[in-house]
Amino acid sequence: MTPLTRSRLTILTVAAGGLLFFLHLLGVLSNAETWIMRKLSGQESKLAETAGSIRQTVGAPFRVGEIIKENEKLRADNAALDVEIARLTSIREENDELRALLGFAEKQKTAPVVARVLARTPEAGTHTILLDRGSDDGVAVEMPVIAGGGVLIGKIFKVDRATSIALLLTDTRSRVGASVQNAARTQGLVQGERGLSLEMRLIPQNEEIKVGDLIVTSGIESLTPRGLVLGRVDEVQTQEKNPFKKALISSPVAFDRVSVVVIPFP
Amino acid sequence: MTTLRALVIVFLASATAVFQAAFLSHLPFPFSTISFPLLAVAYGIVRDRPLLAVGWALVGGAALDLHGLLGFGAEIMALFAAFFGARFLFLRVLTNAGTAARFLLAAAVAVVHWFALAAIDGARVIFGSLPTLVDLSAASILAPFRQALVNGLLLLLIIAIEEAARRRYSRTFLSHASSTHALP
Repeated sequence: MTPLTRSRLTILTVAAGGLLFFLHLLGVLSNAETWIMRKLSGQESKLAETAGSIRQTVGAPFRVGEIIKENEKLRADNAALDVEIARLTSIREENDELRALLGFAEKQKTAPVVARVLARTPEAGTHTILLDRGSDDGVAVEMPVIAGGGVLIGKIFKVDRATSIALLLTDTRSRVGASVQNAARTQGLVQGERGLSLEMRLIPQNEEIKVGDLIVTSGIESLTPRGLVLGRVDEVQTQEKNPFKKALISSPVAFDRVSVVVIPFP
Repeated sequence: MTTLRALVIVFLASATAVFQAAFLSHLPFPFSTISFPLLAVAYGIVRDRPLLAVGWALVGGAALDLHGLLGFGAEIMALFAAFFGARFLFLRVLTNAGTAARFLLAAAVAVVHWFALAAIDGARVIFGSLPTLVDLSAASILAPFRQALVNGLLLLLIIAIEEAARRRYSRTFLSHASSTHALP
């Protein structure tokens, strides 16, 4: 191939990129993009699951001590939760009876969407996951993304027809209104910290908050229901001259190992 | 032959991009930062095969765009910008293609690619979108440099393996002059 032909072909390839972008803007490629993502989603979720289990298996020997401690803590938590479940069950039964007496009808709710994690988005420095459900399934921007039975892990950030992208709570750009499950129902804002952990900020200095307190969503955002678990307080940091204190939070869900999530409808 | 080569590049570029997004991105650092299109662009420039570089950038970029945050076209444009930036560096600035120059080139591809994506993100903000990439946290600022380091080292490894394989499996011919066999 002569250098001239090669240069021409290089320019043609760049022009093809421009043409693809233009066709995308016109919406001509919309069906093709949706079809490709639907076809790929099966294989991609298998790849993601394999990568997740490799990560877990390889990392396990280095985390034996941590796993033993975690196991002991979970046993203790489990015992405490059994007591809590028994208490809440009786409250629910009582609540049902009272509702029946008052003639309240249970509000009909649409079944939530279950989505598989396909990939992490390729842009370096972002903490997002690609899900295999999109606007065709009713997913919309700002909807909460839940894992582990009721733990909020992020919110929908971008939606296409067949897929959607969720911004994880650990991303620095993520913000969610939160409250502490204490007597004062202390309010604050939970945000991501360098993709690694969560922090609750804007907690007034005079509010009492301690290690182990449960943090849940406050329901201040229109699409995020109140009471979704965000995590437990690991450490409380107070600074003089600062009107607010902050709390470091540990989520019960390992964000990098999530493979299936639930997106509830409001 | 050229058509077959083009088809192979299309297949490899799209398959590796899907593998990168769905598999590698779930693994811990340094695997999560490996980017095949960036490696292909750097390799294509080092080996003076610009068609391979832009072809891979187009197909790999389109596949990554389907998984990306910034919308279709962003990855393709950023990879093209990385190609032109690195090719300028290779032809006009660097004086040789030694190990340090190759590393620098692969690192430059990663950094230019990230800044191009950040520029696209910034442009989207002007039109009312939320920023997705530009973030002033230390981890975010270091992300392109971590990627540059990993991709630079990986390119050196790929080229070393390629050269070792070429030496090991290259065909050798006996010279007629030194042959002791008499021809009939």
